[in-house]
Amino acid sequence: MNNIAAMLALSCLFFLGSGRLRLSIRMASFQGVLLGILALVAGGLKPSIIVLAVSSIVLKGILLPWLLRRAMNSTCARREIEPFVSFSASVLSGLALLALAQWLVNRTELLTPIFSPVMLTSAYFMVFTGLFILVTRKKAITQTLGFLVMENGVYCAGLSLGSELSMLIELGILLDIFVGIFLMGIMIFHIDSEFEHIDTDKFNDLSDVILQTGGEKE
Amino acid sequence: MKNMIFMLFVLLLAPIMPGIINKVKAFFAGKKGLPVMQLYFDIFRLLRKKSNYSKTTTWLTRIAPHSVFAATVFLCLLIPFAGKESVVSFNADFILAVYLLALVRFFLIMAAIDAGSSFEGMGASREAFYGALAEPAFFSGLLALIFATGNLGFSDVFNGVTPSLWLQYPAPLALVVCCWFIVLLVENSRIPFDDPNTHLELTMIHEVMILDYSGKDLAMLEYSAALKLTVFASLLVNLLLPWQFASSLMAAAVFTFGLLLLAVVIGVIESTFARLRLIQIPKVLLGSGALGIIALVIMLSGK
Amino acid sequence: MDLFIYAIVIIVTGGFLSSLSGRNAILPSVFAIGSNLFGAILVFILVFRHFAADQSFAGNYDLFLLSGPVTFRIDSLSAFFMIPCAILAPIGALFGRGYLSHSKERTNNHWFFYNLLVASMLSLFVAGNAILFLISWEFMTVAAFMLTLHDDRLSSSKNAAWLFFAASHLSTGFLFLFFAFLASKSGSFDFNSFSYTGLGSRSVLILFLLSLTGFGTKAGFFPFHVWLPEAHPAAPSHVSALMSGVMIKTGIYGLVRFWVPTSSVSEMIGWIFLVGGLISGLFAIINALACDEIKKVLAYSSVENAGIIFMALGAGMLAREWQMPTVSAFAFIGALLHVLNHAIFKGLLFMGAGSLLFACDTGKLDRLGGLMKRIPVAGTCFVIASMAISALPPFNGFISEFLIFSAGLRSIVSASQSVAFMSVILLCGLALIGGLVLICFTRIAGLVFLGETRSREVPEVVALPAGMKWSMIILALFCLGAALASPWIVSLSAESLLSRLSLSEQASELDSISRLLLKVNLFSLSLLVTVMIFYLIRKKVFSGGDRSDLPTWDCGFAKPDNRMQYSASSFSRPALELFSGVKAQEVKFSEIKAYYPVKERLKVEQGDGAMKYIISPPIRWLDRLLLPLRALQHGRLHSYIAYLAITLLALLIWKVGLS
Repeated sequence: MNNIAAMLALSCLFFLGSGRLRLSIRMASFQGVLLGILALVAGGLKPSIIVLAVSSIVLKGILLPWLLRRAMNSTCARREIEPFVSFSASVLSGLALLALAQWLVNRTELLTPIFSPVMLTSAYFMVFTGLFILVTRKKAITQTLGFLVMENGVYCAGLSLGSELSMLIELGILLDIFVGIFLMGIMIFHIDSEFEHIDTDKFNDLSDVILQTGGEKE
Repeated sequence: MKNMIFMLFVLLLAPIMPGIINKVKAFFAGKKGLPVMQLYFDIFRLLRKKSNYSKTTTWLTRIAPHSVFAATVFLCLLIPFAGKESVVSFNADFILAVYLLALVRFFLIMAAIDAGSSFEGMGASREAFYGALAEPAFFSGLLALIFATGNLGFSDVFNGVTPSLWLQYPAPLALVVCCWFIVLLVENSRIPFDDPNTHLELTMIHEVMILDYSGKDLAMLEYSAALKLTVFASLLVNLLLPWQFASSLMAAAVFTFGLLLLAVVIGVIESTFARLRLIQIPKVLLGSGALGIIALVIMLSGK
Repeated sequence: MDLFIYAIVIIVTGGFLSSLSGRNAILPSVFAIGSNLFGAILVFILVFRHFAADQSFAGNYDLFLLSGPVTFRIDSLSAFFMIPCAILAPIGALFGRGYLSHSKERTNNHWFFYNLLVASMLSLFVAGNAILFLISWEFMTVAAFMLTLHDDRLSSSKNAAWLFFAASHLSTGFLFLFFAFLASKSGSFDFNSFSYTGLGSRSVLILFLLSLTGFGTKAGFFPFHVWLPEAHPAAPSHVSALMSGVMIKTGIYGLVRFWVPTSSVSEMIGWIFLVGGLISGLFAIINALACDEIKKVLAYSSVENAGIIFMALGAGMLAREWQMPTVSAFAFIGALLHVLNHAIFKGLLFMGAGSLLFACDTGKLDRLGGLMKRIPVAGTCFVIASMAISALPPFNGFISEFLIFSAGLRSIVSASQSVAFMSVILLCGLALIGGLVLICFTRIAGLVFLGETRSREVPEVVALPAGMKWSMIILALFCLGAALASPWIVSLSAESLLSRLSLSEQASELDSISRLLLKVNLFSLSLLVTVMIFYLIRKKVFSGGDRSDLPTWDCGFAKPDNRMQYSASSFSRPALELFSGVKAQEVKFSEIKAYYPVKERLKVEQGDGAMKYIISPPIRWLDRLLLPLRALQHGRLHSYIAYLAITLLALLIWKVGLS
């Protein structure tokens, strides 16, 4: 189990360092499959766990990457260009975040993890990574991926704290994510055909907040 | 029954009041003047005539004289005359009386606007405004009286105004008399607030509002105006002549004498005062309201 | 209690049905009218059962998603305040059916929100705990907001709706604080568990000011009324009727429920209500005199009437604290009856104004005139409502003001300095307000419906649909009916209401109140009958030879023009000159200097003094203060997420690091 957790953390680091969208998507699908296996390992062969694991693998491992790849193909975006934080710096920050996650897990003695502390650490790390990607990357697809990674983190944390209820909620979230990404795919396509780019950085053109400063300049 | 007879007597007497006022004014002007009974003649003459209506007008113009007349007569039911008792009385009947006056005003104003003329609208506007200011003034005097007598109805209050009360509170009661006298002059559109005799529209209030009435309607309105004057005068007379009489005949005689004397006083004032500028009127009215409150304050501090 | 749930379910379902009924022209409004009528009947049965059998109903329901039970409780206050809502909701729906018939847009969603508004107001009145109360409060706000936006192509309507939304949220914020404080003290959200005992009077006063700001904003308490004259006119007229007639009362209801019963600062609150009410009333009626748009006049008049209600409540509280229970009973009953009566005549007035908008497409006073001949039903009903709101007998406005005035007169009998001060404020203030109301309503009723039209070309007048006419006729009858029923209402409901307001042992006094009202009614009814008979006799017997085809006497002026009639602004001019400081009027006019003057324009813009001098300056100051923070909101998605992430991380580190 610790191995799986370590692989998840590593995949996150890889994610931070890679600029190629196709690779990132593949990483996300890899994480999905890992999480499915993790659920089986952690929860045993109970029916609810099996449903969760299978749906996780199918959705996160196959369906979502497919959707994203389709969106990517339709927009002809291949690489994340000029992120706010460069890829190497991202990896460094990722290490810092990993340290932070470890520190957090050590400090929170209230939450005695059932399985392994490593898994909780990587869960935190995944959440942080997801947030980091959301903040620093420009392409809508990458942001979607960041969102997905963050969700994986939440899922992982749920698993490592292990309770029946969290499974149920997890299934619900899974459905939400699916719908969300489905919609995002469609939207990305439309935004692309409308603006000829999917840089969320430039979305503030759409904002209806008329900025005081901007107004004065005009 | 006695009160009913007194009331009918007042209803009959009402048109003589403007006659006396006019006679006094004529005397001051060194003229012979119209007969004292002139308004009776006018009313009878008008009652025999047909009415004309402008084609602009609606049902309000037609119903207004009837409402004004009926409301004024109903007002008389609440007012104590010679016997210091009114026909109908209950607690806080003042309020009903004040709002009957407001009802009269409402219909006069609406009828005036109904004619669609700028002159009548002007009169309506002024009537509404001065009415709004006269109402608090009347209430402030009333508050002082209620405080002095401890009673809550016209009849009780005026029964409570006795010679000894005058001795107890001479100054406050005099202030209330002043206050109500000013209200009387305003509410009945007398000089110095309004000049009922000029025919310059800009100076008139009441007369200009009924400019478009004729025949029976005008008769009703003229009569109601005289009756309203008499009602206000009766309040003052009851206040100024606090004596009670065992014989109703004596009471009626004294009361009538008081009314006629008051009419003479109004006539004298009309002859000796000039009309106030319209801008000054609100100040006088607010001042009269202050009189009532000062009366109250004096009584409170004396208690 | 079940009846109430049924009523709510029926009204909400009716709203859903009409929103689902598609493009059908009739169905949505039929659903709306039917459900409101049915719901109102159920509410009436409930209210009647409550007062007649003196039953209190309460129910706890666990609604999912809410932490804790939701408590409905009907006591006499909630029952009484539901009456105006139950009267106005179905009649408003009937009116709205006609009123909306000329708009080409679909009305489904309008009716959905209308029913939502009605349902949320009803459930607000029976809310037994803070959670349900706030939920209903928010639903009410949202529904009213959506309804105000009905005509969202007009920018004025949009601005009004936003102003309304901002004001409502501000008020909700204060209420949150208020309820949160009380709940944290008692450990429960139930209203019954709230109490001010054990608090210092200073903190009670702060609590009061919190809730005064919260509820007072809804109730139009000066200076929080500023949104009201903007928002109420912007809504469709039947919604304005509901907003002015009932929604304002929710604020009054809140203050009555939480503050009018005895507390350690009752005397202070009494003074605040009395003086604040006087200021609201005078301020609002003067502004009403200055307005030249009919619905705005009506909205200001609602503020004024709320002021009267506050004055009466304040006087009642003071009298209660000074051991004058009779005076207090008169004032309280007067205030509560005025709540009911105001809903009726203000509803009617707004519908009359709506008829104008429907028929002539304008509410500008200086353009209208002579409409009595074109839309006689609306005109007659409007005149009746004007009489009612000017408190003229025999209509219902007179009854409530009669009681309030009597309270003032009664208090002076046993006077000390402060009592006399109270009576003078109450009586002279009310009398002055009353006189100004008479000016205001003769002005709008007279100048709109009487005379001739004031625009140069005769406007096209659209005939009113039957629904609009009938709803106004019904409400006009209610104006008389509520007056005639008042002795009965008092004898039925007053005792339990007064005991709810910490006044009891009044049974004998209540008999005398209803007997007094009976006498007053008898008197004014006989006046009405006399006038009618008198008029009929005159018309049938003595009208031979009367002519009604003549022109108005033109005072010798050869060619009188419609434009020469007295106008709305000239009518109220004398009164406004006296109070020129109160209204924020801006006159734009360049003086004529040349010998041969060219064309000049005069423009008068009407603002609200409270907005200009009290509300705006601190908001502008706050705006300037917060301007640097604008830099944070630049529309860049990444930074927003970064804010979130940083906040989360900081919280996590802080929490974990400290533990």
